[in-house]
Amino acid sequence: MLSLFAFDLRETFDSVPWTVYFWIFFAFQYFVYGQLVSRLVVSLNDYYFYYGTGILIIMTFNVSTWAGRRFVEGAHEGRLKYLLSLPFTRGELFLEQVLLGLAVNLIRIGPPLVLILWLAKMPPIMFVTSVLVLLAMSFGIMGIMISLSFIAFKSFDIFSAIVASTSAILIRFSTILYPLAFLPSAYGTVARFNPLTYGSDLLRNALNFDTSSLLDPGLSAFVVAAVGISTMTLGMALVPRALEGVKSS
Amino acid sequence: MSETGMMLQITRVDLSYFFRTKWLLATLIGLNITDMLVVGLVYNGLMQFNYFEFFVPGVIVTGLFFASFDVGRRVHLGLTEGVSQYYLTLPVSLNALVLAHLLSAGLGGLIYAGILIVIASASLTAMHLPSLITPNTIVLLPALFVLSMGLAGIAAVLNLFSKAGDRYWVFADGIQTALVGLSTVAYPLSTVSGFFKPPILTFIEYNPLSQGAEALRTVVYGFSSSPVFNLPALFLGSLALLAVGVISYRHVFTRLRDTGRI
Repeated sequence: MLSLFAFDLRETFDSVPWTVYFWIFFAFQYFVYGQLVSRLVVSLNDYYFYYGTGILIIMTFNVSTWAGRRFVEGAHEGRLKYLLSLPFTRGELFLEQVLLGLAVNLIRIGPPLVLILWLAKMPPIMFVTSVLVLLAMSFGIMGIMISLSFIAFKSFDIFSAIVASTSAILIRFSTILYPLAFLPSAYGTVARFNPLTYGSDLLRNALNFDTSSLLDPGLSAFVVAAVGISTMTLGMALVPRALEGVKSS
Repeated sequence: MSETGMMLQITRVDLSYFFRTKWLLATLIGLNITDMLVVGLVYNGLMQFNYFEFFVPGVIVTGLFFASFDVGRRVHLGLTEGVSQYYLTLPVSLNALVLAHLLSAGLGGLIYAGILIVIASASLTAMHLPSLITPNTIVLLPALFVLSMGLAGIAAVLNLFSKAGDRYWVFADGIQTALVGLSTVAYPLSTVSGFFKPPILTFIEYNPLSQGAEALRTVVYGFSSSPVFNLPALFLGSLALLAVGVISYRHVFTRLRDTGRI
């Protein structure tokens, strides 16, 4: 399993342009878009820092959805058949996919996180707590995406469409880009049912952001942990069964 | 079938690929609608001016850009999967093939932007704000069509340089992020001018996306945040990009025809 993990990790970072693009995307969003938008926002103190942490969450979300998509792509391209012939259990295969997602996330998010914390003059311990929160969120999102993969085994196109539209909706109807207090009441109600809202506020709590605009950290931590554990359990229960019916395209 | 008929047939097939790609439409619609109706509305409450009214034309032009730019993805897949090689065996000239792709890009962008305009107008009317559907907007549609074809020219340049592999997707994402970020789609020129100096500021002013967004704002609201906006500049910029697109695609397809390689 560890050999497969090392192989997958190497393969993922073989594509230098994507890895570099990921960091360039962050730099552009943070140093250009974030700077300009934060000059327009007058109702919230230190929106620039708020926006920076939001970008980190969006990046975590993107890496986690990539991990889910990669898994189902492998199934449709016939790679999964080969993996199932290897001498390890389906549970171990599932675990390897999750570990890969977490490792890729850590490698891609680490440098931007360090930069944001350094610019905000945060102590190094903040890095550890932030990484823990981001990885816990990543765990939950991957759980959702891998659980959704049973749809992909019927139609990859429909799976991609669902993931794409769900991603846009989940990110917008959350506190990733703006605090709950500033959402119109109808949107605020939707945001309260969105796990990303709790993850975002938990991260900002961990970074000592103005807590008056954030949800209770205890509740946020509970929701993030509950979503992570429940979706992963669901994924572990669903995926091994779904694997039986996969046809290569 | 005449060459023009064949060209229109290729245009139709290429355009139908765009509207049949479920994941792409879901991504575009999901992003643009939520940008307009969620991000625009929420930011409106965080800013001192009517950001929603300002942002909606920007989102429409961004939608037009993404839809038109998709021709690059289709050509890239066509080149790697052999569809372009098949087109070259048809009784159609190189110019007609190039024009077919750019025409489908222009139409795709315009149709998609039209859908966004209808949705945005319904939302604006519900909020007692001026609708985007006005006689002036209809007069502007040809300019938006030329803009859409011009923006496809940028995708053609990417097709020229990216060859096979991952590089096209990276370049495409990077160009889209940069062009949208370095424009007045999401923030007025007065904000940008406090942050950037020439030549980047000049680029932002003449960026086709800025010109398109300012064109819509001007015809609908009667104001533009960019003092350099004018229709001839929009036409000339778009036609210049379109010419670059024609040259790029001619080069791509000539190379493919002569060497058989991308």
